[in-house]
Amino acid sequence: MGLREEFLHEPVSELKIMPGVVLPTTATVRQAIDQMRKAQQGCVIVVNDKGIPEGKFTEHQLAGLICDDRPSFMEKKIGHFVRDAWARMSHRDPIATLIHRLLTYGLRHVIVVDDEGKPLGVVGQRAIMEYIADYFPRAVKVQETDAKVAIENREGA
Amino acid sequence: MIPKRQRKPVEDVEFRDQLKNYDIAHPQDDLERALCEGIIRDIHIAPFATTSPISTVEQAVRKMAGMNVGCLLVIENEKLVGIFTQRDLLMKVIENYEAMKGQLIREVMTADPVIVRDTDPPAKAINLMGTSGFRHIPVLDVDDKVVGLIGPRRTTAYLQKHLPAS
Repeated sequence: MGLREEFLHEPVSELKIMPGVVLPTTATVRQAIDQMRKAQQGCVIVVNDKGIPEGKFTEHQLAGLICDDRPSFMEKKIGHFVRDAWARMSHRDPIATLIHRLLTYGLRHVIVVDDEGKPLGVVGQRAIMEYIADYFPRAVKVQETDAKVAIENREGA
Repeated sequence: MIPKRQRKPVEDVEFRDQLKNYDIAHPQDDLERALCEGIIRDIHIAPFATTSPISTVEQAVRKMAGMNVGCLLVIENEKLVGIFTQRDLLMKVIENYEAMKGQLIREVMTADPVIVRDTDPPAKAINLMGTSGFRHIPVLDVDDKVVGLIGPRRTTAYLQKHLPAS
């Protein structure tokens, strides 16, 4: 089976799903930032009182918030800034669907939910890179790099 | 007088092939060939946003927000000296933004970032992104001039073109 078939048939659960930081809509932006920093993740899953994702709050929004709403945004509820409510998918959906959404909508993360709609974590572009690296280890993992460290949770440059 | 070196007879030297176990990659399909034998220059590596090391944090943040980008390459005298990303903003700046907004980017940027060359294979960039977790990797040419920026989205789009049709 080639990589295309793998993408079409393998479920998203085969990718490395990051546990994700889960916060209620009533949490403040400051709390979200604290949690993202601690977890070294760029995304918070925002859930309603039933634990169902309402959307996400990401580090990508920070620069815009600083410019638009400074300095009051830190104490506001993240419920005000939740976005991409539709950017979630079942853990049973094929990887191809994930790739399509990431590329078509320019997303960095998609929320993965279980059969009850509860969040399992987030998955994104990096997970696909890891999958490809594992699929073609002779081509990818032998590449010499100048990287001094390989940090498990690193997402930025 | 220096004695003449005696060469060992060839038959006494056991020949050992140092490359005997070297496993050369043989691409199995178009995608693997694109990974190993393609070059990063073939990927859509532009546009990219830049800033100066003496610009302020506030200027840089405004630029990121205005251009809707997650990363600024910090360039001085046409050479890459650092990178400032959303992750730097989150981890180093955001909590004390009011106090830090006047600081120079060179004080908060990630200096000497990991780079790839435009002639490197895409597999190298994927190794850095997938294994080491770098999201934004500057692309330099042979003269160390910045020619692009590569990330998972651009790489995935490139690979998608090489997925076999059936």
